[in-house]
Amino acid sequence: MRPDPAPPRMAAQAIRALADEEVMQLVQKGRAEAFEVIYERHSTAAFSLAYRMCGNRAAAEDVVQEALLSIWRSGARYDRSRGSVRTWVLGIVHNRAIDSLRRTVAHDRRRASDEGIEERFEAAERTEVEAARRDEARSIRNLLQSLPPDQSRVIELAYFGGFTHTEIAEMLDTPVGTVKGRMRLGLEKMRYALTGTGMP
Amino acid sequence: MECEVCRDDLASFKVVAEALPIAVAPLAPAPELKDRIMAVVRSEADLLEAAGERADVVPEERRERRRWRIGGLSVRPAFAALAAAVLLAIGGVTGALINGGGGEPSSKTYEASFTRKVAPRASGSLVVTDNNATLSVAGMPQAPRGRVWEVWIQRGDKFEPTPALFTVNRDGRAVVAVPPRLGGAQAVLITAERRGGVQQPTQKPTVTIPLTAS
Repeated sequence: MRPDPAPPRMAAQAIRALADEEVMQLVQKGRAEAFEVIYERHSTAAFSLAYRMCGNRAAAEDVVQEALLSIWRSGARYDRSRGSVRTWVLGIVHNRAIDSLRRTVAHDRRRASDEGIEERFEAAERTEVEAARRDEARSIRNLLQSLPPDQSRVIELAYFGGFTHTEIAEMLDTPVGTVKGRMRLGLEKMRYALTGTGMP
Repeated sequence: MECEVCRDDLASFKVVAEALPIAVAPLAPAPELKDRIMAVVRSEADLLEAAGERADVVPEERRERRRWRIGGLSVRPAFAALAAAVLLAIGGVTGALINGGGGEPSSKTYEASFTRKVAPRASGSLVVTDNNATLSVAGMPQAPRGRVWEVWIQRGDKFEPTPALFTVNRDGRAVVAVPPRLGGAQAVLITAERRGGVQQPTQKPTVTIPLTAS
């Protein structure tokens, strides 16, 4: 029996009109042009996160390359019930960046300050979606900065620095319990600001 | 078993966990990053397509049951594959003889030559087909600290950078997709450059692959 003829290939332009979750289905089938769409939509966020964590462009590019190629090769592992493609992609980049930081012998790398980066490197706002994402990022950044400094600092060290509670406690010369408490308080405030639940 | 309260509490922080990664200032990656990643992706997509839709699907049947029957004989797939390869080779030779050997080869292999001072035991080759060029090396040292190996295409006295940057594994092995735009090129070269690559070679080539007929 002859196999069914292959379905016609979707044009690259048509793929761009699809939602992320639908594009991922094509990535899972090995469609390079679908992966290119995922790259175009999420590479700036991925690179920004990696750069924030690694502190230099070369290391950030290595992290993004490693993360995105692992996504290309394991696209079948994306489970839409567990969150958006963007969250999934950034989660993988975050994990790879932490791996990269831990591989680095000197853990005292200099991380780039957020201040001024927008002016120097900001990606072009090409679409309304990107503009909306940029606004969202800005408001979350403001939210993080609005926390008391001791709370935002432990959250940043843990999330962007990849440091453990113990390492942060040593760095700040503070008991581990205090670090955990500050982190919990900070995260609760962020949750309340984002969802309106959880805080008095 | 998970505590239900803890699970709900943890889940309630999901929105924060999803918000944190996008709180960073936006920073566009260099265009070359896309070129590098997409070169690998396209190369692998081509291979996947050539191999067929189920190429990467592990058969469910147990290994010991994987015997094929040829002419009433039960044989293992490896032997069947060997037999098929022999038959194909015989067929190919016969075909070539019948056609006077005029058919174009489907791929060309170019041998790499190494700077022996840097890579005394290395070997490698570049296999070029219509749509792909794949560079393989073995026994090659790591690039010096802070550097990666960068692949160049030489045309006359000009050196075109490619998205192909690579490191080697512990055995000094690497397989790298090279852009197949090799028409009119004299050689493919490899130099050790800073991570992220450069636009012009700053070192003498460690590897030279002359693109003359082999």
